[in-house]
Order: sequence, then C-alpha cells, then structure tokens
Amino acid sequence: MLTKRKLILLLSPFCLFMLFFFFSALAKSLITSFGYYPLMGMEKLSLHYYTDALNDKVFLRIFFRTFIFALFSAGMACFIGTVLAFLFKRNDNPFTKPFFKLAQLPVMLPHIFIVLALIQLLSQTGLVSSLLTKIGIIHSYNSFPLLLNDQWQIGIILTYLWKEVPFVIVSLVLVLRQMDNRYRIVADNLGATKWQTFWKVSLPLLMPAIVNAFIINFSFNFGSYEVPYLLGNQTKEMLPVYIYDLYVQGDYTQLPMIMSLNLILSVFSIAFAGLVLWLSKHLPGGHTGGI
Amino acid sequence: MYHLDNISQQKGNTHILHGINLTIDENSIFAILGPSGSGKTTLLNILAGIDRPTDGKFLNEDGQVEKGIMVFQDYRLFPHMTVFKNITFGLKVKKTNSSELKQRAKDIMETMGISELIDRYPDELSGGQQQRVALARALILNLKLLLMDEPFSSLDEALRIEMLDFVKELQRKFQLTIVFVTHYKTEAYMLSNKVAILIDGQIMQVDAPKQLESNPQNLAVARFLGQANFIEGSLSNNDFVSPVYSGKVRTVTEKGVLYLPFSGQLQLNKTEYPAFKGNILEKKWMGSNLERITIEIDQKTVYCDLASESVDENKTYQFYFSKLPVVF
Repeated sequence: MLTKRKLILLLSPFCLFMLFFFFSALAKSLITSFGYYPLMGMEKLSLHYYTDALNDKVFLRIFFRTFIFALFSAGMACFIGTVLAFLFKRNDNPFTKPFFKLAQLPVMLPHIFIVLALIQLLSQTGLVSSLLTKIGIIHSYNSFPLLLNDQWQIGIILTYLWKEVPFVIVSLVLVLRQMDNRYRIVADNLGATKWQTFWKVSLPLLMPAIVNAFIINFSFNFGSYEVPYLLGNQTKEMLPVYIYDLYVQGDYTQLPMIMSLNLILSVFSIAFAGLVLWLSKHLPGGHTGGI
Repeated sequence: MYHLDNISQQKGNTHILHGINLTIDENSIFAILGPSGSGKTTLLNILAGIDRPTDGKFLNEDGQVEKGIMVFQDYRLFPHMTVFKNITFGLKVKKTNSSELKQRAKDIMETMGISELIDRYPDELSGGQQQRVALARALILNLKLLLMDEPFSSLDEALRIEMLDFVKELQRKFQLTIVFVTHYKTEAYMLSNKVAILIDGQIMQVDAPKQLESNPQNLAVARFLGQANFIEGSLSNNDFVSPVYSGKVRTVTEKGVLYLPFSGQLQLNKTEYPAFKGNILEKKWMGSNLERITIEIDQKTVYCDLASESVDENKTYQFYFSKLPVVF
C-alpha cells in the first residue's frame, strides 16, 4: 500500500506539468481573450471579443460548417468501425486475424503521412488517375474527379476515415474480445434471435466504447489544423485554419480576438463531449456496471 | 422422462464426452457430480442447446429434441439492464404483450422475494440476490427443464444452505426438472436423490447418495468421493494381503487396492469380519457427536469416524468390518 507521501511524490511531476504548462497557458489565453494585453497597451477587461465573435456571421458559418463536418466524419468512422469490429472480433479466424493486424497499422501512422499518401493516390495527377488513364477508363488526367481540395472536402473525410476507422476497430475489438460470447450465449439460450442479441445485448454493451471513440474522433476533427489546411477547399475554410490564418497575419492587436475564438473552439469541444457523455448515460448500455 | 442418448463431444483431438447415456425423471432434481475438467459444463451446454454434440441426442419423453434454460455459475445477468429488464428479457424477445409481461414479472419477483430490487442494476446486487434474479429470468419462461451450472459455488456457506432449500422449494412449486452440475458432493447429496458421477467424460455411476458412498462401482469413483482409506496390497483369488489387513475381501476389480471409507466400514463391535488391531494416535472432534480417529497399524495409518468417546488415545483396540471389505 502506497503511503500518502509517496503518492504525492509520484503524482507531483504530472501535477507540476499541468500547473505550469497547461493551466498557465490556459490562464494567459483567457486573460488575453478578455482584452488584457499590456504589450499592446490593452489593459481593460471586457467580454466584447466574445460577443463580437458570436455575432459575426462569417465566424458562425465557419463554426457551424466545422461542427457538421467533424460530426459527420466522426459518426461515419464510428459506424464503419463498429461494423468492421464485429467482423474482426474473432481472433481464431485465419482470414480476420491478418486483416485485423493490417487495420491496426494506420493507427500508428501520423496524419501527415496519410495526407501525403492520399495526395499521391487521389490527386488529379496521382496514381489512381494515372492508372485509370492508362487502362482507358478515363481519357485524361483532367477527367478524374476532383477529390482533394474539393467543395465537399472529400480528401479530408477520407484522411479522417483512414485514420479513425482503424482506431474505432482496435478500441471496439478489444472490448468485444473481452466480452467474448458470454452474453450472446445467455441471450441465445433465452430464445433471442441473432438480430435481437445484437440490438439488445452486444451493441448496448459496446456503446460506452463507441461513445468514447466518437468523442476522441470528434474532438480531433473539430480542432484539427494540418489536414484541412493541406486537403481542404480555400472557399470552405475550417475553424482551426481560420483562427491560425488570423494568428499568422502578425497583427498583435487582434490577439485577444484570436484567443477568444480559440477558447470558444476549446470550450465548445469540451462541452459537446460532456453533452454526448451525458446523453450516452441515458441510452441503452449507459449503465454497464464496469463491464 | 428425458433421455441422453449416446452423447459424445469432441473438440479438435480432445474427446470431452464419451457416449453418455442417462435417463432423467421429470419433476425431479438430478445432480451431475464430477471433478473439474470432467466435462460437466460441456454436458450441460449440450442440454441447453448451447453446444451441439458430435454424436448422440438429448430427447424428451415424446422423442423431441429438448433444450433447457440455463442458470450460469457466474449468473451472467446483463450488466446494462435493470433487474426488471433482465427478468423479462426472454418474454420480450418472444414479443409477449406488455400487460402479460408486467404481470408475470410481478408474480415471479414476488415468488423470488426480489420485488424491491426491480430498478437495480446487477452490480448493485449481492451474490445471493443475483442468483435469485438469474433464477427468475429462467422461471418466468414457464420452463420445464432448468439447468444449473455450479449454482452455489459463489455463495458463502450460510447462503448456500439457504439457496439449496429455496431451489428445492422452487422445484416443488413449479414442478420442474432440474439438472445441475457440481463438484461439491455435499451440494449434490443435499439437493438430489439421484446423482450421476462424471469422470473423464464418462458416466461412472448413477445412484442415490447413500449407495454411492457405500458402494462405489470403481476406484475412480471411490477416489473422487474421497473420505476413505486406500490401502495397497496384493490379491490372489479373494484373499488380500497388506500390512494393515490380510484376509477375505470382495473383489470388484483386480487393482489390489482395499477401500475403507472413513465412516460406516470400521467399528468396535464384534462382527464376523475381524479387521485389525490398532493403536489410537489421535482423536479429532468432527461435530455431531463424531470423532475422526487416527489408528496406527504396523507403522501404517488408517482413519475412521466413530462416535465420541468410543476410544481413548494411546490404547490398542480390535476393529471389525461392518461387512466384507471391497478391493478394487
């Protein structure tokens, strides 16, 4: 049994890190967002950067677009990942075993690798386009549909799915294997069909893991900068790109406004995660007794 | 009457069950007793339709394939459902109408004494309460055949005895046929008048508890039931020779092991079967006016249960067999 002193000692590096780096940065951002930025002679505290942002139609449009986009990508990744997880759950199957191993690979790769791979594959001069031109399915590179930097952000969605579907699979398969067939057998013995067992037993038991994966994916998608920057459409900007663009313009008088946008993005992301968790508690499977 | 007709089970190269033939009376409690790894759970899974045997059938009186409802060793209540939803799961999947479902749930919860637990989740219940819910989940289906896998192994001693009585009561009330497996012989004896001994995937003996203890059919059964001395010696015809006892025996098999159960076989009152003279090394109180006596015979030790104060320590006594001893 650890003594109290030992426990404090062991936890202190983490606490110190959080205190000095995370919370001090957060406090600095918060104060700046209230208009306190002495370097530029701004010392009056006010909420007007927040009210301005929330009344700015451009900002609200970008915010809403980013939210819908993050929601759709995370939802799709969870849906596809859940379906595949049920296929991959058997670890004694000679076919699913190598596929599951392969599916784990994108989880380990950085997003930038997948972005560059997609550019190589799906740009109009990419591998797929060249191949289709060579075998005569399309006449020229120009006939290949625009999948990257396009209006519908297909490139970004594909990148997220490529990375996040395997993440969902890995998260869920581990839970499914832990559950093994225990509850399926009970449901079967009590007369349930396979479909009833799936809806009433397996899926609800998996729901907490799906919700966790969804929150992680959504938070990443909502705050991600590099993928929308490289693969997104300039006219359909995403919120992190919009904020970063303002930041690198070098106008320091704009910094309180930039910080207020940054905090709106962060607080919304956390609040939305909280809302999803709260809702999930009221769905079937919200109470699992730690299983 | 239920019939297990030559049931065998093989997984890979492992033979788990070998041609099991049994008949089980309806409206009775039937125990399958055996050591861990003997194939008990596999057999029960076949009776529940969870596993399919590689050979053989489980049929009811009408010759139809039968499937029992199982109460699992770890209860396996659905952790995301309340007690009410757990209990009504089987009715819900059969699309029973809501008012009937509620009425049956109310009735069974009253019978099981768990009405106040209706909105609780399994992780908020004690072991005994979980078992009652698991039983209610099965009994609400108006079943005929209830299967129980090591039903009392997770309960403490006091609760185990209470649940044993409760299961007996349920059997009478619902006129159920209960088949349960266990590796505790006391559990099997307390609950059932007919016990099958399953060892290494084979039914070795089916008998009443008293018969099993007094007349095990082979050495494997005798060793499994325990509470006996096994004395090695040599055998020619029906004459046994060993440092403890030499003389006439009843030969069951030719392995040359004398079977002396701790209780019922050795006594001090004279019979026509003198056993041996032995020195009393130790006495241990066993409860219920019984002592376990350690007897030394020619540097060998034999145990037997006698009435309290029958013998004194460090004294020599002549012992007799109550009947001709058995050699396996």
